[in-house]
Amino acid sequence: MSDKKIAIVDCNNFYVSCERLFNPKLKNKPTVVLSNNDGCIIARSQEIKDMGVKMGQPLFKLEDSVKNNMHKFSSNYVLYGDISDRISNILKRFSPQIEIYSIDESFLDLSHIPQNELVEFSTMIKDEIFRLTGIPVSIGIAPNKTLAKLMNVISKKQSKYNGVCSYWDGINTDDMNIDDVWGIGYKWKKKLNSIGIDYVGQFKKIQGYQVRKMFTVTGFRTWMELNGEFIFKIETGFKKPKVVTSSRSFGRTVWQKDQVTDAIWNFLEDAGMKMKSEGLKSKEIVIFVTTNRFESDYFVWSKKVKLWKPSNNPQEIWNEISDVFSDLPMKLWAKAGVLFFDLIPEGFHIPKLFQENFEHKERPKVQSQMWMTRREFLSQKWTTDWEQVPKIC
Amino acid sequence: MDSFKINTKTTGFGSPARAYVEKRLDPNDLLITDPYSTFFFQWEGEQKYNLNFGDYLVVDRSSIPNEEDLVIWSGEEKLEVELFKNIHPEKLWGTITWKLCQIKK
Repeated sequence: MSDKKIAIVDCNNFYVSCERLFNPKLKNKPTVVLSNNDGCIIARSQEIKDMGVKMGQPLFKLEDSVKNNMHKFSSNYVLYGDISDRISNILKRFSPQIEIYSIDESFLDLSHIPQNELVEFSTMIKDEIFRLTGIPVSIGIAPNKTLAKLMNVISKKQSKYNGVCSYWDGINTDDMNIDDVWGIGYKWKKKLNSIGIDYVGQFKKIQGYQVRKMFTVTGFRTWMELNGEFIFKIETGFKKPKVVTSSRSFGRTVWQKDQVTDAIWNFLEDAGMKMKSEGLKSKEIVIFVTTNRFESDYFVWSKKVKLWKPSNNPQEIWNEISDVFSDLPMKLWAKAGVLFFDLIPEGFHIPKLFQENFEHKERPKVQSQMWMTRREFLSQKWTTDWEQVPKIC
Repeated sequence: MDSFKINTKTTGFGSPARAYVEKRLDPNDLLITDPYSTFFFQWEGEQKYNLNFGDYLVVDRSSIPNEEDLVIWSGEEKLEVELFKNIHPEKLWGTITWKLCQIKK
C-alpha cells in the first residue's frame, strides 16, 4: 500500500453552478447548459439528473413538457474558465502539488496531512472553496488517483458523507460497478462484462499477468492502483493540447461547394482562435466532410495538408488549402470539420530555405448566418468584462 | 558566468534615486485583498446606502462582514444590496468593501 494521500477536488455540476452564482432564482430549479451550438445537454443540475435526462442528450429529442420546464443556458466558457482559474489558485494554498486535471477537477497531494485529519482538512478545503467562490465541490481522498476518483463517486452519491469521502474510513469498493473506475471506458467494460466481471472486487482479484495480457499496460496500472499501489503521478506541468479541432453538423444536408467552404472558413476561424489562446501554431491540417453517418452509403472525404508556414491565422491557412476543394465530389454532405496537428509554440519558427509564397486566395463569402455559432441562451461575461459586470439595484 | 560580469560596464553616472526605487502605486493593492474571491458589481438603483447610479462595487467573498456593513445577498429572484444586520446570514453572497465612483464623466 502506498503512503501517499491523493485528493480529487471535483466541482459539482460545475457549469450549472457557475450559472447559478449570479442568478439565485435558479436555486433548486432544473437547469441545463447546452453544447457549443445549443444542440446537446452538456451539464445538468441535480434536479435534471433526477428527471432521468441523460448527459449529451440532444435538446430537440426531449419532450416539450420537460424542455419547457427547465432553465437553459448556452455554454459560457469565458465565465466557466474564470471561475475555474479562481478555484485552482485557491487550491494551491492547500497543497504543494496540484494537477489541474480538467476545467472542474484537480488532483492534490495531501501527503503532508496526517491520515486521521484528512476528512477534517478536506472539509475545510470544500467549505473554503464555497465561501470564496460560491461553487460547491466534493472531494475523494485515497492512496492514489484511481481510488481517490472512486471515493469521489461515493461522496457524490451518498449524502451521509457531506461531500468528503476518505479511503481510510474503511470504505469498501468491491461492490462498486466496474465502469465507475477512472479510465475504464465502454470498450473495456464490455470486455470485462464478457468474462463475467461487473464489480471492482472481481476485477481486483484477477491475476496480474492476466490483466496485462487482456488490457495492456494501462489497464494493468489501473488494476495496481485499485489494489492500493501509487502509479499515476501528479502532473504539475502545463499540458499543451496535441490537436485542436473544430467541426459541426450542418443541421441539414448541403451539396453546393460554396456552402462547404463557408463552413470550413468558419472552422478555421474557430480553431485559429483556439490555437491563439493557447499560444500555438499548426504545421498540419486535416479537412473532412462527411455524409450522414446513419445512411447506408456513408461517405467520408478528407484531405491532409502540410502547411508551408506554421500558422493560426485563418487567411494564411486558407491560402494554402483552398485548392484542395477542387476535387470535392458532389454529395449530400451532413458534417464537416478541421483538425490541426503538429502544434508548436507561436514564437518558434524555422524559416524554410525556399519559402513558397502563397498568393492571397479570396476567402469564401459567408452567405448565410447558418455558420454563426448559435448561442441563444448565453449569460453575461460577469467577471471578465466591465460592460457586463452584474448590475444590482 | 564570472567572465561576463567582468565585461559589464556601466556607462555614465547612475541615478542617485536608484537605490530608492519602489513599486509605483497600484490601485489593485488598495482595493483587492484576494483576487480569487473578489467580484465587481455595478449599482443601477436610485441613491441608497450612499450609492449612486453607476457606481462600481468591489465585493470580496472572503471578507467577514460586521452588522453595519453593506453586503450582497441572495434574494429569491436576484442578488440584492442590504446591511448585513438585516439579512439572514445564510443568504450572504459577499461583502461590499469599496465603491468606485467616477467624478469626471
